[in-house]
Amino acid sequence: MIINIDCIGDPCPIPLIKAEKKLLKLGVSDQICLETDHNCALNIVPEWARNKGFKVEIEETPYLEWKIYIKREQKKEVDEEVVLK
Amino acid sequence: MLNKDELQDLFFIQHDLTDKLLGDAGLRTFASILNKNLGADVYIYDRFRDDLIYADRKIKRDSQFNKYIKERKLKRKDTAFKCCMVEIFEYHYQWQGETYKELQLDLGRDEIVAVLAISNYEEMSEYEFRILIIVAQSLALKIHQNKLVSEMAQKCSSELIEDIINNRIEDKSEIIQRGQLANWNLNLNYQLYLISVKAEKNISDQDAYYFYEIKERIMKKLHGVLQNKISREYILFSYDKNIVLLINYDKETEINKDDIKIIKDELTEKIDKFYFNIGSGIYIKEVTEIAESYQQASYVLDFLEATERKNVIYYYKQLGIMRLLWKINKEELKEFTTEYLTKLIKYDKGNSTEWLDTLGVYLEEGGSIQQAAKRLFIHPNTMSYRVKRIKEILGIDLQDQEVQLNLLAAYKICKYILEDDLDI
Repeated sequence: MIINIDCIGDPCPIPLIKAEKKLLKLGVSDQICLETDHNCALNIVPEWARNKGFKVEIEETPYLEWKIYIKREQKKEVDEEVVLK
Repeated sequence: MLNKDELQDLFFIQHDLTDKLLGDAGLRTFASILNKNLGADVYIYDRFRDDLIYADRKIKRDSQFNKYIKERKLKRKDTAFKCCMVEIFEYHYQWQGETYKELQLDLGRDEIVAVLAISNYEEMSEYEFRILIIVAQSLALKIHQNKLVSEMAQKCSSELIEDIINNRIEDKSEIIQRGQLANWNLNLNYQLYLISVKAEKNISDQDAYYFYEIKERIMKKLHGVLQNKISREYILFSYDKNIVLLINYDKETEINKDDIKIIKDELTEKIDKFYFNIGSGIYIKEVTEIAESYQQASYVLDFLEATERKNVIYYYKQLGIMRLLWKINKEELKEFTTEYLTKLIKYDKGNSTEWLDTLGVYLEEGGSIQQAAKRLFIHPNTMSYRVKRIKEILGIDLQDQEVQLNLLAAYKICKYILEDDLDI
């Protein structure tokens, strides 16, 4: 299931906080799609998610917006406690 | 009057909006309610009406939109709907021979956080206007919330800024980590620029609010230019009365002076009634060097202000001998300056003249009467007379090169370092 997070217009660190909330409930086959027009979120969100062991992909749209896809790394279980930190 | 079904619908929409606010929705989610119910396009301006906070994808895809915003001429403004202390205006714009209509309303009452604009709409009923009003209220809350978060984030980074600027760095890796929280990459190499914003003297009282808000507006412009025209990593923050900008260049040889010129030109073109001086310090290879570079850039700005320069970019390296002088103990500098200039300063005080500046300009122009007179807007004969009198007052030979050198140094110290603080 794709969980969409609308972060259009949101300044940092709101996108990170929103992503954090959703990631806590992310199922094994779920994927987050975070939409942002704030380029600062492009560094902070992927870096944070990768550090927590998630797989991140970024897609640039033609209208100065980005989609950040976050999902669990396959074959790698992410400890919920680690995420909670 | 609204019928029962319409009232019920409005009630549901209001509920839906509350859920969306509590569910952390972004601006697109709120705008989509207007898209769906009014069949119209939505965009949101900042309160200065010159920056977009939000625009529907359809609008963003339109390459002509920015041109339309900049060039359109307002022809008429009518009240379209008024209720509950909210007034919706219909704006008629003229652009490229066509007339365009938009509905606009302020988001917020005492404090206007933004302006909501609706385009491409059909004639609207009272029910639709009321939908517009309740969505606008949620948008106002959301944008206000975003603003608070931005201010809070800014406050959190203020402590970091203080530590960096004052070089209170005990552990380099700790400060780099704190930088990451503010989304600053303090591992990179940067060129530091310090931007001063000053109002032109002819600014009127009516523009006072501009002066108050100008920094926020400039910061927004700077982010826009840096993202769209410079495309380099950067750090931007406001400190004291100035704006600090760090642009990443991996090597000192990569520094492109055109980048900062583009920024300055953009500011001078877009922000009326203000002028900008930009001072630059040394190239920064590690975070601990930011404080020194900032001090140097700050000194450059003092120098530009003392020399009454406007819209100038000046590098610390360009200051020549002044770079050495400002590092010397102030008491020693006072002693040196007093020795050379006391008589002239006393004369100025007693006669309400400004011959110290006359001497300074004369020396800076290499002893040229013509050039100095031109710079001071006086007749060359007046200049000659003053130089003759200055020689008499000081009792010196102004042709002597060593005397010239010492006097020029004393003048520069007095003006730019001691800032006329000589207790004479």
